Amino acid sequence: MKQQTTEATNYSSRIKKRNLHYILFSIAWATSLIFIELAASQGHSTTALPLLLILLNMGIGVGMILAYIRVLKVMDELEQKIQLNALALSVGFGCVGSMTYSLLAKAGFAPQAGASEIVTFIVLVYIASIFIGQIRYR
Amino acid sequence: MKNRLKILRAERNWTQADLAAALDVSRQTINALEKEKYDPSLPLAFKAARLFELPIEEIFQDGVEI
Repeated sequence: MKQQTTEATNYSSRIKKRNLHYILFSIAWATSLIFIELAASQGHSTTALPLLLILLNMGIGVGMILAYIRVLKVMDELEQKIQLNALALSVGFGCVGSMTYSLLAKAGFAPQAGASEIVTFIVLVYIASIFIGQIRYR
Repeated sequence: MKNRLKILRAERNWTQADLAAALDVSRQTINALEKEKYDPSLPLAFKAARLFELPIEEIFQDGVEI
Protein backbone atom coordinates (compact mmCIF):
# COMPACT_ATOMS: atom_id res chain seq x y z
CA MET A 1 0.00 0.00 0.00
CA LYS A 2 3.10 2.25 0.03
CA GLN A 3 2.53 3.24 -3.59
CA GLN A 4 -1.05 4.13 -2.77
CA THR A 5 0.15 6.14 0.22
CA THR A 6 2.49 8.07 -2.08
CA GLU A 7 -0.37 8.51 -4.52
CA ALA A 8 -2.58 9.55 -1.58
CA THR A 9 -1.57 13.12 -2.30
CA ASN A 10 -2.90 13.02 -5.89
CA TYR A 11 -6.49 13.79 -5.04
CA SER A 12 -5.60 16.26 -2.32
CA SER A 13 -2.92 17.96 -4.42
CA ARG A 14 -5.38 18.32 -7.33
CA ILE A 15 -7.89 19.93 -4.96
CA LYS A 16 -5.26 22.15 -3.35
CA LYS A 17 -4.00 23.35 -6.73
CA ARG A 18 -7.49 24.21 -7.99
CA ASN A 19 -8.45 25.75 -4.64
CA LEU A 20 -5.35 27.92 -4.78
CA HIS A 21 -6.34 29.25 -8.22
CA TYR A 22 -9.83 29.97 -6.92
CA ILE A 23 -8.53 31.69 -3.79
CA LEU A 24 -6.15 33.85 -5.83
CA PHE A 25 -8.96 34.90 -8.17
CA SER A 26 -11.19 35.66 -5.16
CA ILE A 27 -8.52 37.82 -3.56
CA ALA A 28 -7.92 39.62 -6.88
CA TRP A 29 -11.65 40.24 -7.27
CA ALA A 30 -12.03 41.57 -3.74
CA THR A 31 -8.93 43.76 -4.19
CA SER A 32 -10.26 45.22 -7.43
CA LEU A 33 -13.53 46.02 -5.62
CA ILE A 34 -11.56 47.93 -3.01
CA PHE A 35 -9.71 49.89 -5.73
CA ILE A 36 -13.02 50.82 -7.36
CA GLU A 37 -14.40 52.05 -4.04
CA LEU A 38 -11.23 54.05 -3.46
CA ALA A 39 -11.34 55.57 -6.96
CA ALA A 40 -14.98 56.52 -6.50
CA SER A 41 -14.33 58.07 -3.08
CA GLN A 42 -11.47 60.14 -4.49
CA GLY A 43 -13.76 61.76 -7.04
CA HIS A 44 -12.69 59.85 -10.16
CA SER A 45 -16.30 59.36 -11.21
CA THR A 46 -15.95 61.72 -14.15
CA THR A 47 -12.97 59.89 -15.63
CA ALA A 48 -12.70 56.60 -17.48
CA LEU A 49 -10.74 55.09 -14.58
CA PRO A 50 -13.69 53.71 -12.61
CA LEU A 51 -15.22 52.20 -15.78
CA LEU A 52 -11.94 50.46 -16.63
CA LEU A 53 -11.66 49.19 -13.07
CA ILE A 54 -15.27 47.97 -13.19
CA LEU A 55 -14.60 46.09 -16.42
CA LEU A 56 -11.41 44.65 -14.93
CA ASN A 57 -13.36 43.65 -11.82
CA MET A 58 -15.97 41.94 -13.98
CA GLY A 59 -13.28 40.08 -15.94
CA ILE A 60 -11.63 38.89 -12.73
CA GLY A 61 -15.07 37.91 -11.44
CA VAL A 62 -15.67 35.74 -14.50
CA GLY A 63 -12.25 34.17 -13.96
CA MET A 64 -13.21 33.50 -10.33
CA ILE A 65 -16.43 31.77 -11.42
CA LEU A 66 -14.55 29.60 -13.94
CA ALA A 67 -11.95 28.74 -11.30
CA TYR A 68 -14.74 27.67 -8.93
CA ILE A 69 -16.28 25.46 -11.63
CA ARG A 70 -12.86 23.83 -12.12
CA VAL A 71 -12.67 23.20 -8.36
CA LEU A 72 -16.11 21.59 -8.44
CA LYS A 73 -15.10 19.32 -11.32
CA VAL A 74 -12.12 17.81 -9.47
CA MET A 75 -14.02 17.29 -6.21
CA ASP A 76 -15.18 13.80 -5.39
CA GLU A 77 -18.89 12.99 -5.39
CA LEU A 78 -19.55 13.67 -1.71
CA GLU A 79 -17.78 17.03 -1.76
CA GLN A 80 -19.67 17.95 -4.94
CA LYS A 81 -22.93 17.02 -3.22
CA ILE A 82 -22.10 19.25 -0.24
CA GLN A 83 -21.13 22.15 -2.51
CA LEU A 84 -24.20 21.85 -4.75
CA ASN A 85 -26.53 21.63 -1.73
CA ALA A 86 -24.90 24.77 -0.35
CA LEU A 87 -25.27 26.59 -3.68
CA ALA A 88 -28.93 25.59 -3.93
CA LEU A 89 -29.66 26.82 -0.41
CA SER A 90 -27.80 30.09 -0.89
CA VAL A 91 -29.58 30.81 -4.19
CA GLY A 92 -32.94 29.83 -2.68
CA PHE A 93 -32.52 31.80 0.51
CA GLY A 94 -30.94 34.63 -1.45
CA CYS A 95 -33.94 34.95 -3.76
CA VAL A 96 -36.60 34.51 -1.11
CA GLY A 97 -34.71 36.50 1.51
CA SER A 98 -33.94 39.44 -0.74
CA MET A 99 -37.49 39.62 -2.11
CA THR A 100 -38.94 39.44 1.38
CA TYR A 101 -36.57 42.11 2.62
CA SER A 102 -37.36 44.28 -0.40
CA LEU A 103 -41.09 44.06 0.40
CA LEU A 104 -40.44 44.85 4.06
CA ALA A 105 -38.36 47.87 3.03
CA LYS A 106 -41.10 49.10 0.66
CA ALA A 107 -43.67 48.70 3.45
CA GLY A 108 -41.45 50.73 5.75
CA PHE A 109 -40.62 47.94 8.17
CA ALA A 110 -36.91 47.83 7.30
CA PRO A 111 -34.28 50.20 5.92
CA GLN A 112 -33.34 49.89 2.26
CA ALA A 113 -30.63 47.35 1.52
CA GLY A 114 -28.13 47.51 -1.32
CA ALA A 115 -26.69 44.77 -3.51
CA SER A 116 -23.70 44.35 -1.20
CA GLU A 117 -25.95 43.45 1.74
CA ILE A 118 -27.78 40.86 -0.34
CA VAL A 119 -24.51 39.36 -1.58
CA THR A 120 -23.23 39.24 2.01
CA PHE A 121 -26.40 37.39 3.07
CA ILE A 122 -26.02 34.86 0.23
CA VAL A 123 -22.35 34.27 1.10
CA LEU A 124 -23.20 33.74 4.78
CA VAL A 125 -25.91 31.21 3.88
CA TYR A 126 -23.41 29.44 1.59
CA ILE A 127 -20.74 29.25 4.31
CA ALA A 128 -23.26 28.00 6.88
CA SER A 129 -24.53 25.35 4.43
CA ILE A 130 -21.00 24.12 3.73
CA PHE A 131 -20.31 23.91 7.46
CA ILE A 132 -23.55 22.01 8.12
CA GLY A 133 -22.85 19.68 5.19
CA GLN A 134 -19.36 18.89 6.47
CA ILE A 135 -20.70 18.16 9.96
CA ARG A 136 -23.51 15.99 8.58
CA TYR A 137 -21.14 13.63 6.82
CA ARG A 138 -18.43 13.57 9.47
CA MET B 1 -27.12 1.15 2.69
CA LYS B 2 -24.87 -1.15 4.67
CA ASN B 3 -21.38 -1.95 3.53
CA ARG B 4 -18.31 -3.90 4.54
CA LEU B 5 -15.73 -1.33 3.57
CA LYS B 6 -14.31 -0.98 7.06
CA ILE B 7 -13.94 -4.74 7.43
CA LEU B 8 -12.37 -5.17 4.01
CA ARG B 9 -10.03 -2.26 4.68
CA ALA B 10 -9.00 -3.68 8.06
CA GLU B 11 -8.31 -7.09 6.53
CA ARG B 12 -5.74 -5.46 4.29
CA ASN B 13 -4.31 -3.18 6.98
CA TRP B 14 -5.17 -0.07 5.04
CA THR B 15 -5.86 3.31 6.54
CA GLN B 16 -8.81 5.39 5.39
CA ALA B 17 -6.30 7.57 3.54
CA ASP B 18 -4.95 4.51 1.72
CA LEU B 19 -8.43 3.46 0.63
CA ALA B 20 -9.26 7.04 -0.36
CA ALA B 21 -6.17 7.19 -2.55
CA ALA B 22 -7.00 3.85 -4.15
CA LEU B 23 -10.54 4.99 -4.96
CA ASP B 24 -9.43 8.54 -5.82
CA VAL B 25 -11.79 10.18 -3.35
CA SER B 26 -11.30 12.20 -0.18
CA ARG B 27 -10.78 10.59 3.21
CA GLN B 28 -14.00 12.33 4.28
CA THR B 29 -15.89 10.30 1.68
CA ILE B 30 -14.42 7.01 2.91
CA ASN B 31 -15.32 7.97 6.48
CA ALA B 32 -18.88 8.85 5.46
CA LEU B 33 -19.22 5.58 3.51
CA GLU B 34 -17.95 3.47 6.41
CA LYS B 35 -20.31 5.21 8.82
CA GLU B 36 -23.10 4.56 6.30
CA LYS B 37 -23.95 8.25 6.22
CA TYR B 38 -23.48 8.34 2.46
CA ASP B 39 -24.26 5.89 -0.34
CA PRO B 40 -21.73 5.71 -3.17
CA SER B 41 -22.54 6.33 -6.79
CA LEU B 42 -22.56 3.34 -9.12
CA PRO B 43 -19.13 4.15 -10.64
CA LEU B 44 -17.61 4.42 -7.15
CA ALA B 45 -19.25 1.17 -6.07
CA PHE B 46 -17.85 -0.55 -9.17
CA LYS B 47 -14.43 0.92 -8.44
CA ALA B 48 -14.55 -0.49 -4.92
CA ALA B 49 -15.63 -3.88 -6.28
CA ARG B 50 -12.70 -3.94 -8.71
CA LEU B 51 -10.30 -2.85 -5.96
CA PHE B 52 -11.37 -5.57 -3.55
CA GLU B 53 -11.96 -8.08 -6.35
CA LEU B 54 -15.42 -8.83 -5.04
CA PRO B 55 -18.92 -8.53 -6.48
CA ILE B 56 -20.67 -5.28 -5.55
CA GLU B 57 -23.28 -7.20 -3.54
CA GLU B 58 -20.57 -8.59 -1.27
CA ILE B 59 -19.47 -5.08 -0.37
CA PHE B 60 -22.74 -3.12 -0.36
CA GLN B 61 -26.10 -4.37 0.86
CA ASP B 62 -29.27 -2.32 0.54
CA GLY B 63 -31.23 -4.70 2.75
CA VAL B 64 -34.20 -4.78 0.36
CA GLU B 65 -35.77 -8.19 -0.20
CA ILE B 66 -37.74 -8.68 -3.36
